[in-house]
Amino acid sequence: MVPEILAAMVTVLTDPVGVALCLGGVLLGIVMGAMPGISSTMALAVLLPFSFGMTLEHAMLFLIAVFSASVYGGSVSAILINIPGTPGAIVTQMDGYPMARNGRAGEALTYALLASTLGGMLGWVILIVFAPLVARAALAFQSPEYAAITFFGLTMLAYASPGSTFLGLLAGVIGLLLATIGLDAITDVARFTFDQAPLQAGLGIIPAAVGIFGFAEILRNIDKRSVRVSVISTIDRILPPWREARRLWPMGVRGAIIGAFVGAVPAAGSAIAVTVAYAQEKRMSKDPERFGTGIPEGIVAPESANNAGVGGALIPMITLGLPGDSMTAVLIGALLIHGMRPGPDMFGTHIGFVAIVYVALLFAIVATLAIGLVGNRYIARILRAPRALLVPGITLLCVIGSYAVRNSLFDVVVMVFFGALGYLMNRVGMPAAPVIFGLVLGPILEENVRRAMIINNTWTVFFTRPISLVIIVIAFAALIYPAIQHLRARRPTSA
Amino acid sequence: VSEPEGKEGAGTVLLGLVLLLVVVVLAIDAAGNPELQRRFGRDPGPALQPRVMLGLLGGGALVLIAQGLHRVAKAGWRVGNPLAGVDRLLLPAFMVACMLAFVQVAPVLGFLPTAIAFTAGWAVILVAQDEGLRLSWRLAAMIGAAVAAAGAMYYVFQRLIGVPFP
Repeated sequence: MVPEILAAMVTVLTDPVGVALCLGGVLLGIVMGAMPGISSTMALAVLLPFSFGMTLEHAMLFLIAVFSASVYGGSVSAILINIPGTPGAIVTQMDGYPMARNGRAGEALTYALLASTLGGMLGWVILIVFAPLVARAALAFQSPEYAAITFFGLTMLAYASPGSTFLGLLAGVIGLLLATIGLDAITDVARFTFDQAPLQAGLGIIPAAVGIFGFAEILRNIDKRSVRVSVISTIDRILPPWREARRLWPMGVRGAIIGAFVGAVPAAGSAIAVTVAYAQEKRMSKDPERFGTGIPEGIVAPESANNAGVGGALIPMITLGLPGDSMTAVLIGALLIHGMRPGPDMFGTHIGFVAIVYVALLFAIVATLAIGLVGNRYIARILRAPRALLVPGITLLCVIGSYAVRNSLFDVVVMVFFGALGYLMNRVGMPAAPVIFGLVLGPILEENVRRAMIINNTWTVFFTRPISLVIIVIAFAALIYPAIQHLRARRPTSA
Repeated sequence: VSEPEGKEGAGTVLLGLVLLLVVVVLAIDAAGNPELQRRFGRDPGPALQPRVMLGLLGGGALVLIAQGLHRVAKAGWRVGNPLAGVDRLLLPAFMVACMLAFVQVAPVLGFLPTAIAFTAGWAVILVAQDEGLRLSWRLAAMIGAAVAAAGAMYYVFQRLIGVPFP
C-alpha cells in the first residue's frame, strides 16, 4: 500500500488543480464549519455540486478537504460565540468559550487546532492501518454478513441520536421506508410511486441529504426572530505556553484513539466520540471540578477525538460501503454520482483511488493546520457575515445542488420535501439525520437479505453463519442496552 | 406536572397520529398494488421491506400516541394553547412555498431571472426581519450582493461546470 500512497502523493503534489481544490476545500470547510447554523454536513452537502464537473480524484480531494476542515471549523464558533458549529463541537464549547471569555481566545483556538491536527493525523494512521484489514476480512463476507452488519449500523442509531433513542430509531425506520420508493432493483416492481414517473427512479440520496442537512437548517434559521450573537473578537496571543501545551499531548492521543474507533462504528457519529473523550479525561483528572471553567484540557481531548473520527468514519465507508457518520453518508452519495460504489473490492480494483483518499485526508489535515494558524486571527470577522446574504445564497446552492445531480427540477421538490421534513422533525424533537442513514442503508439491507434468501432459501442462514450470528447478537445487545439502562434509571431506590 | 408537560404530550400524540396516517396511506397503496402481492419463488419479494417497515413505523406511532396520552393525562389533560408558537412557522412555510414556486417559474422565466428574484426578495425579507424595513445603504448593498451571488453561482455552474439550467 505504501508505494500506492507515495505515487498518489506525487500525483497530487504535481497537479496544481488538485492542490488548489484541496486548499479551497479547506478554506471553505473552515469558514462554513465556523458559521453558526451551518453544520459540517450542511457544508459538505451544499458544496457537493461544485464537484459534479470534476474528475473523481479531484472531487475526492475537494470533498474530503471540506469534510476534514469543517470539523475543525465547528470548534471556532464553539469557542468564540458559544454556539457549536458542528455536533462534534458540543463539548468543546464547555471549556472553549469560558477560556475565550477569560481573555485566552487565541490560545483556545490554537489548542483546538493543534488537537485537531494531532487527532486527524492519528485518525489517518488508524485509517491506513485498519482499512486494509477490515477490507480483507470483508472479502469473506457474503450477503448474510452484509445484511447483519447493515442491521448493526442501523441499531447504532439508538446511540447516535441526540435526545430520544426511540425517536432516533423511528427516524431510521422512516428512512428505510422512504428507501423503498421507486422500482424494486431485483423485480422492477413499482413501490409507492403513486403513478408519478419521476418517483420510479426513487428518492435521490443527494437531494435528500441537501434537504435534511441544508434546507432544513435554513428553515430553522429563518424561524428565529433576529438572532444576534456576541462574537469574542479580541484575539491577541495565539501561541499557548509551551510547558502547558507539552503537558496536554497525551490527552490528545487518548482522545484520538477514542475518536477514531468510535468514528469507525457505522452510523455512530462524532457527538458520541467527543462526549466519551471528555468524560474520560474528566474521570482521569486530579481536578475534575475545573472542567467547564475554561481549561485547555476540556478542549484538547474532544477536539482530538472529533477530528480522529474523520479517519475512523472513512473506514466503514471505504471497506464496506457503509456510512460512518452523516458526512460519509453524503460522501457515499457523491461517490455513487461519480460512478464509484465503495466496498472491499476497492482495495483490489481501485487501489489507486483508495490511495488518493488517504492522501486527500492527509493534505487536508496539514492544510487546515497551516490555514488555521494564519487565519485564526481573522476568522472572528467571518462569523459576523449577514444572514440576509447567507440564507438566500445557501438556499440557492441547495436548489442547484439537488437539481444538478440529474438535471431534474423534481429533485428540487424532493430536496424541499426533505428540508420541510427535517425542520418539522427538529421542531418535535425527532433527530433527522437517521432518515438519511436509513435511505443509504435501506437498499443495501434489502438487497442482501433477499439475495441471501434466494441463494440459501432459509431464514436461518443469518444465524447459522458464525460472523453473521456474532454481528446480529451484538446488534441486538446494542439495541436493548439503552432500554435496560432506562429501566434501571427509573427503578426506585429502596430506602 | 405542568401545562408544558401536557403540551409536549399533545405534540407527541400529534406526531404519532401523523406517522400513523402515513402508514395507513402507504399500506392502502401497497394493498392496491397486485405486483406486491405476487410470489417470487425463493425471493421474499419487493413487499418484504415495505411491510416490515410499515409494521415497525405503525407500532412506533402507536407507542408515541400512548406515551403522549399518558403525559397529557399526567398533566391533568391541560395542554395550553395548541396554536401558540404557530406564527414561527409562517416564514419557513413561506420559504417552502417560494421554493415550490421557484420550481414552477424557473422553466418559464429562466433559471437566472428566477434566482435573482428569489435571492433579492429574501435579502429584503431578512433585512426587514433583523432591523425593520426602511430604505438604507445596507438594504441596497444586501440586495446588490444577493443579486451578484446569484449571478456568480449561475456563471460557475452553467459555464464552468456545464449544468444545463432551464
